[in-house]
Amino acid sequence: MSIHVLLVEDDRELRATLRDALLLEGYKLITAASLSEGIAIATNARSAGNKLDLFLLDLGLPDGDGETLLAQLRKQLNTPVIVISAREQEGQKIRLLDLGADDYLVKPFGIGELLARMRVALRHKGVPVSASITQYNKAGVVIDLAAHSVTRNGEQVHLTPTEFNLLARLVRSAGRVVTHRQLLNDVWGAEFIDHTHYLRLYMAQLRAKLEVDSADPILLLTEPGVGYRLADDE
Amino acid sequence: MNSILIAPAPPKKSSFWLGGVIWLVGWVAICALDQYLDVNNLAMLLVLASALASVCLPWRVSVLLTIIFVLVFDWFFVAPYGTLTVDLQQHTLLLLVILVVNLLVISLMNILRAQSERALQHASEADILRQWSDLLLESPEPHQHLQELQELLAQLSNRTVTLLVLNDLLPETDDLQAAQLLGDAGIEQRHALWYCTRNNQPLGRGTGRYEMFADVYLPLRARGHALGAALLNNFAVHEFSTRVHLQAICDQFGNALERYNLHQQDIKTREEAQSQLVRNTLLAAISHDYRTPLATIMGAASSLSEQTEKLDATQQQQLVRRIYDEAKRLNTMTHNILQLARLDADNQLACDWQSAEEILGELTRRWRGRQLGHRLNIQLDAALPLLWCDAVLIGQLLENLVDNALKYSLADSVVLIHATVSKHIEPAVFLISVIDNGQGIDSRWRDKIFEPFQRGAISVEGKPTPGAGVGLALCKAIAHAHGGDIQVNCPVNGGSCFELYLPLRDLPHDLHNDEVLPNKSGDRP
Repeated sequence: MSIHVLLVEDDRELRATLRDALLLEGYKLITAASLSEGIAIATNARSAGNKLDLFLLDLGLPDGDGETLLAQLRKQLNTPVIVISAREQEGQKIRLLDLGADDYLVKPFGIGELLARMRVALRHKGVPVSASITQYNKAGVVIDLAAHSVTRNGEQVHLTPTEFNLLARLVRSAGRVVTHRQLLNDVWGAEFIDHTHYLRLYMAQLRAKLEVDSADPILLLTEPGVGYRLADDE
Repeated sequence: MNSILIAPAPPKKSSFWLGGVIWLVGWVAICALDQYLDVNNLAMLLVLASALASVCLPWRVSVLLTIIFVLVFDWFFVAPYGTLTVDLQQHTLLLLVILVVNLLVISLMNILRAQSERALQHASEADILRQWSDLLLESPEPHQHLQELQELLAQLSNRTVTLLVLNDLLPETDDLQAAQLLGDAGIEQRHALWYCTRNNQPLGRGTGRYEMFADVYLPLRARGHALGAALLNNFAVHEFSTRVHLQAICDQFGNALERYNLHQQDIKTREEAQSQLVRNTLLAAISHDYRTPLATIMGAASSLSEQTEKLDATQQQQLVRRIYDEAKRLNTMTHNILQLARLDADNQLACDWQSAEEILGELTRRWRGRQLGHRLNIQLDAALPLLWCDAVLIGQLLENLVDNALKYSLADSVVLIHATVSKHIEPAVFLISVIDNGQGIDSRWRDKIFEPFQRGAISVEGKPTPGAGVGLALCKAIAHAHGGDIQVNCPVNGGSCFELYLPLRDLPHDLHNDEVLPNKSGDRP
């Protein structure tokens, strides 16, 4: 069964380029050039029972902002949404992620990166954050949340409770960006969302315990100004 | 500063005792010489005494004394003695001549004295005007001296003074928002102040306009218009010279205000021109720097589309690669220019606690994505403090420095990035150095490379090196926006070393610190 992707993008060239690239990868692509068209297609597809598997959403559309569509979608569906936009300010990215976007890509981007992000988003399809992802395995690091165990190259790694909670939160969203705000809220509590320095300190400790070179991490990746991303597992 | 309010020189007091002494001496001499001289010569003494005394005495007293003393002289010294009658006709003539000469001398003396007093008065007025004008010239803002203007006018007129001074241009309506009112004024007086300002003419008693007013209003005149007005309560300018003097003081202030306003306008215009110039330079440079990669892209793309069959797979791959590289270069350039414009526009930083390890780690990751990761050697001191900074901007700054270092050094040489806390400077700062072993930077260029659209090696080596010419300018803007600085050194053994200094800040102390502090002894996982 092929995967249905709705692309909402007003630039004709980019729409054509993306369509060609995605068709080549075997996706079924439906395109919309405006916000209203996108909403119409999404609504029709739902009422007709044709399931859309993924949204690629541009923000600056001729008849409105993609954010509107994102907010509408999130009220009804948990179809993964990847935002593609020329807006690169961090505040914007954070707001989109907090609004419920699964990922974002800043234009210009490479097709390879888009495909990788799409794969991650589809893997998490329809899975709420507190999902049952409890296993993680990459670069010799094996995490089993249920068993409360973390090993690196077969050896037990000792983590403090806070370190473990932080890591667990990232594992549940492996491959996706988790904003600072989300991390601080989920690990420390709502009253700590401004205490970014906790995150920095704990992240440094986690990296020291899990990474080969903590200045050049391959698991615990930084998204500057936005948050952290645990590299997608193997 | 208050020395401007000098007291006008007091008018010279007539010296009665000196006049008395002169007359006394004169009479003693006349009496003493009576036996030796005839009456004609004695009369000369009378003339001398009268002339001398008139210097010291008020003219009315002098006239009175002269008449009395001529009669006394007639009584005692002109025959027949003891009477006012005169025997000889020649003596009658003598007494008349003495009287006339004396009165003439007195009147001349009086005119002279009045002239000298007026000269003194003028000198004092001129002095006040000069000091007042010096004060206004030296002062960058005339509004600071409103109070002094008020005091000066009050002192010269001996009345209370109220000032109305426009903030900027004359408003459509008499709106006190657009002006300052210093002192008290009734509603009618305010109207008159505004009227005086609008019409640029003095009003009130003694001015020839609105003579029924109880006060005098003088405009603070500048060229062709007034920038305010002064109200002299209950005053009248009957003397023309007083009015001229007071008006001159007001005009000087008006001119100073005008000068100030023009100066402000000049600064504004200049700033606008400057920003226009910057914008034009920016546009010119952008259009220049964008054309090169665009030309490459268009060339490569058109060959791919038109000559596909003539190109072998490797050549095609090369062209595609070139398009991709140039597009990336355009992207970096756009990014830099946008960030620079954004920093110029609002200087808003999204500061947060950041770790240098993360910023540099992210940098490595990006360069690894471009297959250049192996050319970076990152060295971090142990236990570096957190930085309070905008991670995206600092990341961009370092990326530009690394980009530069790679571009200007030999292929496959390694660029060293070192982060440490430098205690050589007080207070200690965070120091990140980017060191390459390239050709270094000519000392002539070292200051200029941080200006937008300057590019090092281009003219020195004669070989153009690609770059946006804005990268280092952005680095400097970012460093300054963080309260830090950036410098370049070129060690004698070649290469260049860019040093970024960032200020250190104390981590916030809070109640929960203990709870989150590292617990290395490790509770169970």
